[in-house]
Amino acid sequence: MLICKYTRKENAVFVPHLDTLRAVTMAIRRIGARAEYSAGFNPHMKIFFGQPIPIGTESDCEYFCVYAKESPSDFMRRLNESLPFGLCITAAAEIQKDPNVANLMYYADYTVTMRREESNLLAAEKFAAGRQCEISYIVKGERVHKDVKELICSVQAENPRTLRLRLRCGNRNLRADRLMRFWADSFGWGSYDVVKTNTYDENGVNLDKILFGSDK
Amino acid sequence: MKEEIKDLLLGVDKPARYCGGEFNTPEIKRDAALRFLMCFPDVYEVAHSNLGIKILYYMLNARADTACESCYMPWADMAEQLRKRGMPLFSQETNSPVRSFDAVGFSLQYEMSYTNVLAMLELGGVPLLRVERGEDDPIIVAGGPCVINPMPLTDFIDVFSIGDGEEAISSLADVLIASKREGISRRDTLERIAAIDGMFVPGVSKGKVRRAVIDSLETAFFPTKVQVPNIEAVFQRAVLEIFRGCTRGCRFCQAGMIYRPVRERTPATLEKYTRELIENNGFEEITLSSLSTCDYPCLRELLAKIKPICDERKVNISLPSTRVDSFEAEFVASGRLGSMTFAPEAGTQRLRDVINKNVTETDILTSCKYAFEKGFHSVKLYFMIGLPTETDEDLAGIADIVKKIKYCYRTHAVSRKQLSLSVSTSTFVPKPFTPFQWEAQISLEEIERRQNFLKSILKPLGIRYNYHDGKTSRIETTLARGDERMNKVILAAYRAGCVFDSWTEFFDYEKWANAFRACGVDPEAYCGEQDETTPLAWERIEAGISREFLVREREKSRRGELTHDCRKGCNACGIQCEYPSAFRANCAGEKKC
Repeated sequence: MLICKYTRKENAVFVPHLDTLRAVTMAIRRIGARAEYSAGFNPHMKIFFGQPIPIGTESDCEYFCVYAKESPSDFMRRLNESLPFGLCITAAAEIQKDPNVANLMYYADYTVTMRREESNLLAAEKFAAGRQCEISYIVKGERVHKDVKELICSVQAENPRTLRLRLRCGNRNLRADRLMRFWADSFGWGSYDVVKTNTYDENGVNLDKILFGSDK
Repeated sequence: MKEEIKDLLLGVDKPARYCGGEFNTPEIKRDAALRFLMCFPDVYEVAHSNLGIKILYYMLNARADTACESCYMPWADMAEQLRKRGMPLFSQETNSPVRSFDAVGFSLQYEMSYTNVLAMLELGGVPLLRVERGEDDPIIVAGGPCVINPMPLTDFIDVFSIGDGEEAISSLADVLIASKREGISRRDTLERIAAIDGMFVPGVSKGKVRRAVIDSLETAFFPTKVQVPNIEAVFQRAVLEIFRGCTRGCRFCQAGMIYRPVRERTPATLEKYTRELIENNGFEEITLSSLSTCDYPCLRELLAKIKPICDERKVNISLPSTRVDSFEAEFVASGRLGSMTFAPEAGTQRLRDVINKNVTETDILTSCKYAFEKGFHSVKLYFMIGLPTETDEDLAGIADIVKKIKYCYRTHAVSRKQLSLSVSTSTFVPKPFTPFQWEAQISLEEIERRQNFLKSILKPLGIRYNYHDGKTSRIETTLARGDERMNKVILAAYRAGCVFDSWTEFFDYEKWANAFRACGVDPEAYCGEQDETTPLAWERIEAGISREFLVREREKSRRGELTHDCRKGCNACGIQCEYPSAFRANCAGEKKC
């Protein structure tokens, strides 16, 4: 069994989660890796991904676990030659048991880069420091209002172009793109790019440390 | 990716349709002598299910002097965003505007996509009318099965590529490059193109234009490395074209006529392609594509060769177009229990004989018995309504077949599940170059009456009944059998807001009816019976099937006489005279395979 860390950049950020999963599965089939399949009517490759990431958000830290009998380094090299543009395996290791990465994920760090300098990025810090943090967003055509105070761990306006966020992910999740859209509309910010940089478990331990034994 | 494109894509639904970057996208040559844009006038997921554009796209990119990119019809939200932002429709690979290419090709698979062609041209910044295009505008080319009748689109398309595209596209590229190098005018370039086999150039071509036919598929280009779509295509699978053409001779079937003669690939070649398709693409499923796959004479040999290759990588084999009389092969191919789909087309033997669907009720029930004994519990049946000479008795025959299948399930099923049975009907649309090309289509009122009649007799049987919207079928007939007057109707319909006419959520019959009225064109002129003694609009094209054969077949249909499969002997349709080299190399009739 192999655990893999991968990045999602460039054009791949527009590909939905299930299609990304399919793209990786197809790449594994292309390279002829010895993967295990489920038994039954429709055999499926035994491969398990982390939580979905919103369309448009780049990521340095996505994970999947695949039941395959392959050398990690060789698997990573061959798979990288066969993945679509924008997806890249950055670490692979052999493990004995499926770590259930989707369940492990509890917090995530994001770096938001503004396309232009914004003079009032500190407004985000003030918002997060408030007693309530009510945001609104559209879901299936309807506007939803939600207090996300408990889902924001930290907000830091590093400079007029950079925001660093730590938000809850996993079962109780706050999407960085949703928060940013609300802020951008509220504070009059221009365009920006969001990158997910690190993922942590509920004790704040980086998943890299848990899955690979060190930062990757 | 440019920031403006990224921002645009973040504002639309399913941005993966437009972002490009698909696996297996060839490197686009920046300094190519010819820049060609291959367009498909429907959404990304439909386009990626089409083999024809893949063949041409990879053929052009295989040339050292040509760069071919792709572009699909943007969904309504994307089209709106493009207009709002003042951005032109662009290619997937390099985000270049449609108007910046030397030539733009459209694949026309069905008539209801015609308004989408206009939408793509306009969004891409290309003048809609060919007479308004200047020296700097791209040359607009159209191919695919619909252009067998090019007349409804002669105002918009500069060049129609009729028939097989493999050799035609290479010749076209040669001419475009030479003309560009020599700096000759658009008019002179079009005149040179008109000299290529199979090219119909409105305003330039003189006399009849003969459909282009390649002699052999064995030596024809076939792409085994194809773009893997970013999101799931309608048919998400590797396509192995095992042969082109069909020998059955169903009298309503245009494809069965206009792709003649049959040209087959050998099992050895197909085995090689299977290996390459699996290694290069990674699809879960491979389909053995043709108009009637179970008629491939070496099917068992082929399945024996490719099944181990597919099993090794857990790739399923699917056989489309399975005939009711050859269901066993599908089971052999997949070895799995799914639902089975049969298309008897008509409810009684009389009507099946009229349309020359060489299938009997015994064939249907034998296949069902075989399937039920293997554990199948789901059957889908496809029929057509409005076929020439159809009566309510024929419609009642559909219910009789359903009853017999239900009885067959009770007596032969090994599955404990309840039988899942559905019936779908489409409305007969008379198509050019078929023996039924002169036949009338039933009126809208009659379509709805027959659908309601079927509903009433199928409801007590407790099965699902689905049917196609009759209004769409009416418009489809006017476009399929249209003449040059249809150009202004199509333009008027487009101007009134018609796009995505094959999508029920977009199709607006009233807008089409208004367009006909505004242009003073009577749709009944196209839907009614056509005069056998006067030339038809599409007879500007020489499809290779003789008029005498079509008339003969029409007369036989009236007498309920069958015409045997060409594999059992030549039926003298004219192909052997028109394309002797392709016929000699491949015709199953002559070789008795």
